Amino acid sequence: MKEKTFVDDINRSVYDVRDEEKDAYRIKQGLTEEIVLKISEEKNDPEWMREFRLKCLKIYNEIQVPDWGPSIEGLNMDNIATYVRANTDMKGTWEEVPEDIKETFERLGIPQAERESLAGVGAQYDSELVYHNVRKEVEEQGVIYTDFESALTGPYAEMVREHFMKLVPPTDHKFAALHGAVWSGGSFVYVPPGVKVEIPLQSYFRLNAKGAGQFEHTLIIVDEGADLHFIEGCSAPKYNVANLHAGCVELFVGKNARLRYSTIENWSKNMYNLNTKRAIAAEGATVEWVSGSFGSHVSYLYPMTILNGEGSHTEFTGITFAGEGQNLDTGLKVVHNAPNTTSFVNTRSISKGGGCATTRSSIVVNANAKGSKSSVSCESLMIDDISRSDTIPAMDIRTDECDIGHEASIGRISDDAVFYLMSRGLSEEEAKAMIVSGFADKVSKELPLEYAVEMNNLIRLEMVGSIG
Amino acid sequence: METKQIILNELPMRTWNHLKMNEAVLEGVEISGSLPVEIQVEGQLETEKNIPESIPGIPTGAGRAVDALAEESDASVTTLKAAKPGAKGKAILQVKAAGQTMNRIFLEAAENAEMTVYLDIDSCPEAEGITLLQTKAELAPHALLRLVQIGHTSQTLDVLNDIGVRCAEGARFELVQLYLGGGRVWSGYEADLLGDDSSCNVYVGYHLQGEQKLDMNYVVRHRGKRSDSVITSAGALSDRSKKIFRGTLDFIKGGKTATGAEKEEVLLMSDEVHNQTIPLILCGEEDVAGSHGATIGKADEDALFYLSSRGIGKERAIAMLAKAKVDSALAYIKDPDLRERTENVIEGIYGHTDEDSES
Repeated sequence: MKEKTFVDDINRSVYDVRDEEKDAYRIKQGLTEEIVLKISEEKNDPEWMREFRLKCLKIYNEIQVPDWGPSIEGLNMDNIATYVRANTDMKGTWEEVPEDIKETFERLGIPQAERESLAGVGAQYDSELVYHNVRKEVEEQGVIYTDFESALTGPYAEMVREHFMKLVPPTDHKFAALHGAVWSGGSFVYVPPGVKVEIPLQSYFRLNAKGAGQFEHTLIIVDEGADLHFIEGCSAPKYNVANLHAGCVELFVGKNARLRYSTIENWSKNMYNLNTKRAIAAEGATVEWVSGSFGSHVSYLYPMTILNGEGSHTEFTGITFAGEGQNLDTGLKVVHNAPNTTSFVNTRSISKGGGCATTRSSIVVNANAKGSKSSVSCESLMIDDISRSDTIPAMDIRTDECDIGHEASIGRISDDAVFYLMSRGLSEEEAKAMIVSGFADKVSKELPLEYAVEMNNLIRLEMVGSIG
Repeated sequence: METKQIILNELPMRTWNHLKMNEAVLEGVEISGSLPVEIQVEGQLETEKNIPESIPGIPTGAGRAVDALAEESDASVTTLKAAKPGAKGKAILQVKAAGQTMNRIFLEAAENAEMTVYLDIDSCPEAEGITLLQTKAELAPHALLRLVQIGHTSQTLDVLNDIGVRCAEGARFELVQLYLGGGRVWSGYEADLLGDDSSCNVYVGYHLQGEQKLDMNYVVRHRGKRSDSVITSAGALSDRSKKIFRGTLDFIKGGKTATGAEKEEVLLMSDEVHNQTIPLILCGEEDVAGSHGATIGKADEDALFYLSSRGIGKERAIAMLAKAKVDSALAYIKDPDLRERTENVIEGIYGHTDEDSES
């Protein structure tokens, strides 16, 4: 009997270990003014932030849920605890972090990665950071990398206030408003003019609590001529109730600066991932997004770049892997809002086991973006006939002085390619395994080696026999 | 009859509302009658005034709101049939469009029949308001329908042109559309490739000028095995014109080894034009191949350089490239007589664009 090729699900054993929620502070479920004020009190917010949270709650209650995209009917805010804090404050060494939490991060390889290849690490556990550290030499360059709460009241408080939710206003969509009302945790990064951070910074977000939400805020300001690679990782154990992630990432990239923002998203399959990420690029700046979406039950994730300065540039490289029980709606947005701006987009999606992968994008070229160029390529691969794969790319062009190219394709593994590889001595299984691996390769090669390995582990393609 | 608002040209799968691409809204629609249709028939085609039983259920690109409007306004019906298996024939339909009118055309082709239908939509220069035209076609196994539509109405007249076609096993539908007139134009098209080995091929060409607007929604549903489709949209935007192209290839589960391709080329000729493009590929079937390619931008510098080396000024060269988008449609019209008719319409609008040098 001919065996079917088996593209394995992501091996989640390392991510699915749950810690007991002992001595943790958990706010009551739901979303009310009382809850928002309680979060504000717990976090010792400055007055303006308390007011801002209340304003966001009002906006949240006024905005409808999206009438496009995957269903989020299974998400009931009345069942979500928006703030859960482990019984620890933030530590500067792993030894001080409570044993069970430390073990979780050890299993995820975070301390090891920090020792070997990172300039700084922030580790968030549920709603608050439990560990934060930055290498001395990076600190000496003047780089600020701190937890968001410290930034809010520390020497950079004005800068934070000036930028907080300015790029993603709470009116942007319902879950941006939700974020504004209940945000907690996250990181603040400031890279001074001309400073090049040679090795990446990383924030890792772990949501352990059942039926909880995580709403971290990441604000990165890369000043003129500076250079940074920031990596974000996230995971959670699987529960039989809905969890929610509605984080927010705001990136301000100065004149001739460069920022690469890489994400390996591996939330559990009960997670509603309604995250918002946005960057604004000044003259000559470069914003690079590398995005791997593997987890979550439902995802709405579209990193956006506003090319606001002449000659600014953005690249987006993304892969989405939707398996059983997953409806992942991912993609990107680019707004060309200055002359001679360029964007380059390359996405891959794989759907299997009844999963649904939707690639959604928009490229907007405003009338002032003369001389702009954009190239978009979207490829989708269907592994079986119980899955879905949809591509929804929009282009809105308001000047003639531009050059826009778009190509998309969807299909199965090419018989010709298999035949060619077999003629070169590979077995059918090897040939198909190589093609599927190659399909994902364009993303993994954009990641630092150790993260590329993690991504390949996540995909874990086990090929036996023929696909079909 | 009271005026009303209708929602039409809806995307089969919605996206961000702020892009304003999900649908079109037509305000103040008022239908007060139908237009006379001048018909010349050659060969084995029959004309009728009744509505064939199977046809009302065929969906169109503009959507059900247009069906409802046709029913409410009791829009007149022109039915053309190649009723006998293997019948062949050609019909030339001419409409002098006027405002607040709606007409329905039903086309039916029996097994192995071959129909060619040419529809010329013109108007007098002072025509105002809106004219609506709905065409539905039912193709029996292995039937072939070639439909050519040339719209060159006055820019003071809005036009809604809506098509729905259903293809049985091995049936083929070929559509060539040219939009060379109209103020605001809404163009809907939906092909249901129900039968195995059925196919459709659409070429739509346009040149929008002044304040013209073209709003398109083209959908192909691939249900049959080995069904095949091509949608090609090519045109030029001048002055302050605006165009939206919605194109959807919908591969429905069961339609194995279906293939579909969407191609779009847009020549932008003014910095006040507005182009929107949203080409969807929806896929519920694993064993298919679908693709989309779009090229949007100003006139190709190499082509302009070549024309300049032949003594042709830049403005005229760009106009020639725009006309070339329209002329490309001619290659898709197989009937020599219809090609000539179309060529005459194009020349009537553009005049001769020989490569004569400018002094």
